[in-house]
Amino acid sequence: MYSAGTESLIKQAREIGEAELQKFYSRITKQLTGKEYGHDVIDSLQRLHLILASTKYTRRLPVELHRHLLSLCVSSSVEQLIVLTSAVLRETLPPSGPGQNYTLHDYSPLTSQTAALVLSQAGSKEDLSALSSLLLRSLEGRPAGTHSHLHILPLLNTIITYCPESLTEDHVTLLSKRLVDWLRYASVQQGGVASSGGFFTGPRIRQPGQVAELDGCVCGDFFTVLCVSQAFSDDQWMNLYSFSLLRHWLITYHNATDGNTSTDADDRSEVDGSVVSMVSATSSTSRLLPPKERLREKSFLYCQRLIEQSDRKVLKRTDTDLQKACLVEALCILDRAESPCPSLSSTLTTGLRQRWPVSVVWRCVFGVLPAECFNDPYLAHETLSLHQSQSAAASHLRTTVHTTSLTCSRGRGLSSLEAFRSPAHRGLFLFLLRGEAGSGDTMDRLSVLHDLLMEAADWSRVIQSAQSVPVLLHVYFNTVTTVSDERLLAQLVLVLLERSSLLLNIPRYTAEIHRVFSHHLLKLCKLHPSLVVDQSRELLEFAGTTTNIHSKEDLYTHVVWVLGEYLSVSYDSRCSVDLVTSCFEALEAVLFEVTSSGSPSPRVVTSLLSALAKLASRSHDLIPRVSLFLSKLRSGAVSWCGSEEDVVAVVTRGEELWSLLKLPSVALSVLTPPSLVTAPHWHRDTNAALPPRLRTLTGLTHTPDTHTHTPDTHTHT
Amino acid sequence: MVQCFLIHTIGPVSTLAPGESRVLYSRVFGPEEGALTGADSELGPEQRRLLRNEKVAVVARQVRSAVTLSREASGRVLVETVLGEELVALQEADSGVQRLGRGEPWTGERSALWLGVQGLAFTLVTEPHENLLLAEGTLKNITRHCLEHLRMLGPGSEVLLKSDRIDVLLHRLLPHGQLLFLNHRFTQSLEKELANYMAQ
Repeated sequence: MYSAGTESLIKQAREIGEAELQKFYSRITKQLTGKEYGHDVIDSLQRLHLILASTKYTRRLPVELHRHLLSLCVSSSVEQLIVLTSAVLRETLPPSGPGQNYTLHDYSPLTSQTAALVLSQAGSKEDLSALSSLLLRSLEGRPAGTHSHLHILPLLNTIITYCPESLTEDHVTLLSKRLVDWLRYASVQQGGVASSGGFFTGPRIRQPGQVAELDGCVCGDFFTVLCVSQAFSDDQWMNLYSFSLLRHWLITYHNATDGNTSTDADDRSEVDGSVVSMVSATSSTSRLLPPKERLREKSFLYCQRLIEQSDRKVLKRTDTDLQKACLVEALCILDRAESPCPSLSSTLTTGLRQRWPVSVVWRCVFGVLPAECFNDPYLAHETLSLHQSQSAAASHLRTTVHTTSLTCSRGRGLSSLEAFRSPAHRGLFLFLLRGEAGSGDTMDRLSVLHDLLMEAADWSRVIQSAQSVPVLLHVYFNTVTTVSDERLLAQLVLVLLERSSLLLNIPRYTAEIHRVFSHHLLKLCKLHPSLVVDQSRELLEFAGTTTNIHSKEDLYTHVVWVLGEYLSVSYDSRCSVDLVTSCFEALEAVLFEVTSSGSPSPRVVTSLLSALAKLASRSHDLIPRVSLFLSKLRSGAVSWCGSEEDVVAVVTRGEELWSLLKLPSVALSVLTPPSLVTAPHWHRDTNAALPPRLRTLTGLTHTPDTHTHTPDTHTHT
Repeated sequence: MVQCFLIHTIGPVSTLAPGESRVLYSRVFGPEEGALTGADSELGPEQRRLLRNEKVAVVARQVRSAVTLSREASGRVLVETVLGEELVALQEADSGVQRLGRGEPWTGERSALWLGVQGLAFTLVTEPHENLLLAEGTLKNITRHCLEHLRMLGPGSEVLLKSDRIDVLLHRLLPHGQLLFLNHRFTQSLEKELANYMAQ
């Protein structure tokens, strides 16, 4: 497709020498002064365009050449010449210098092409206002039946996208009236069919016939974009252009919440009135409405007709996509006009809330939609932007964690598709895709599902999502912790613990996810220490399950650490002595189990020891129990330890804790320090703050002058 | 409204750094936004044009990355098609939509819809809440016409030398960036006019 030949052509065009370029300019100028424009002129213009477009820096043309090009663009009747000259002029600028002052007048009479040229070179809002005024004047000036070729509506739509103020209130009113005419009163006769009378046109003019609906029936109501005809008349084209810009027009000029001027305050009461009148408007009452409101009313009618037309079974397959697009557009317009919220969310809620309660809609949007739609890039894009505007934290987390599995299960050519179809496994797949709590043994059988999916483990798509999921989780947690809703955070801790064992077994994936979970568990508990007491039952259950030590060591040590650190009455008054004791006992049991059989990692052992010591310091009758174990360590009962280094590490820690626990009150302040110690704010303390304050003041006021320099010994207290 | 349409490379180009994309055609509808918002109002017309071209280049690079990522993830084998197989090429094309955030490179948010046909991408940049169904259909239609009328599946360079054909195409199907709700009859009417032009 893209060849070396094409690349070298661009290179040549960029690197053309100045002398050669000037010669080329002269040749074209001579060609353009001639009367006839043959293929060589076309050729030259095409090459000129390439030369100008191939570099991002602007080349200015000689004055005479520019003048010829502009004159050709404005006055030629050959479309190719008009297109080429305006393309060339778009890639350059009017020559600068004395006497070279191009105004709007030089581009008159305005055509679609020259207007585009003016638009692309607009340098200010005034330029745009001038252009729009000119366009509207020509709208008035033209005979009816010739508007569509000027592309006035597309041009105006572009202008108001960049500068809505370029249309005055009068302009808006004028256009509102015209839009009403084009939208509601376009002809329903097939346009453009010539009469068969010839020069002697008698009454034998052939009846063109009615336009038709997409299913072939004769059009039953007013003309819309979903009507077909052999040929279209000018006002039917204007109907097309009007509907194409309608949503944007309504958003720009019919904003219901716009309360900036007093006229808008009046508009609002009329808005409410017209919403009611939409349902029961007759043509006689509607004529009494001001133009903007009339346009709104006709827009609703048009949209309702489109919705009805979207139900029809099309004859031409390509029209199906158009029907869908029209349906979406119509719903957006109807919804937009009722509420100021521009997002797809309000379209959904409006469209569906008549039939379904909102909670059902949201469950669909956040539960079903992501699972169903992420295969379709367009739908996924819409859903993402929708999700950005709402929060559904817990289900997001589940979905993210399951993304990798989802990716697997959505792959093509998955032989386990057979498994998907089998009823036994279908429940598992649905559980995965739904992200809701499974019933009965679904959680346990998830490993079966994962085995089935393992054959997809090396697909690039799966690897990519396995790499992205940990990052997404990081972002997710960082965002969620800014929401200080304890209930939600408590739920997240549960999800963390639960899902840590339900991961697809891809190399490094599980380890990465555990790392992310550990990091964020720590952060969460540090921010909200009372979470530990809150979720103590689940945390204890996790910590008490010895198999977790082997499968998730990282996460396990973190859970043990947070239990030791935060299960204290100083963090949460609900922490009872019984709770501390039961936690102690659970951890103690684990410690005994791992040290008596098997070779646990020293990290696990030391964290268990530290946690036990911390808990014991809060409930002194537990101290003898842990001290007993620690003294055994001192005497070298570390047969379960692997290397020499590990032995040293464990024994050292044991020693430290044993010595500490000999002095219970010291142990308490070291192992459960008050917050004053862990988060010092010395500068706020009246006494402790004085020396640093004095030092700061002296530093600021003391001028470093060599003559008066004295050592500032007086500031040291 | 469509802000711009561009055709650019997505495969490696020998004279460019990896990751860079050569823009073969670009058309921006409307004025350079900097001139209007006051942010860059001190810019002269030359600088405005330069800025516009730079922004288009940024979009090309972003889309190139998106296409590469998408193709890697799908793991599909690229089917080579030749002249005459335009419909097949279109069927095999990958498509997607990429969000361009604030400042990337325009002040406001945009969406970039792309269609990847072998070594080239056809990209439409639209306002954020545009009717994506309509934009997707329009993009496919424009791409089909470009492939056919510029013989893009062949080795020639018509895309550079006959770019007026693309201008005319856009002028009918996407006038001044306006997406149109064209049913098959409206489309036929426009395509008849196009066929007359292309025959020259």
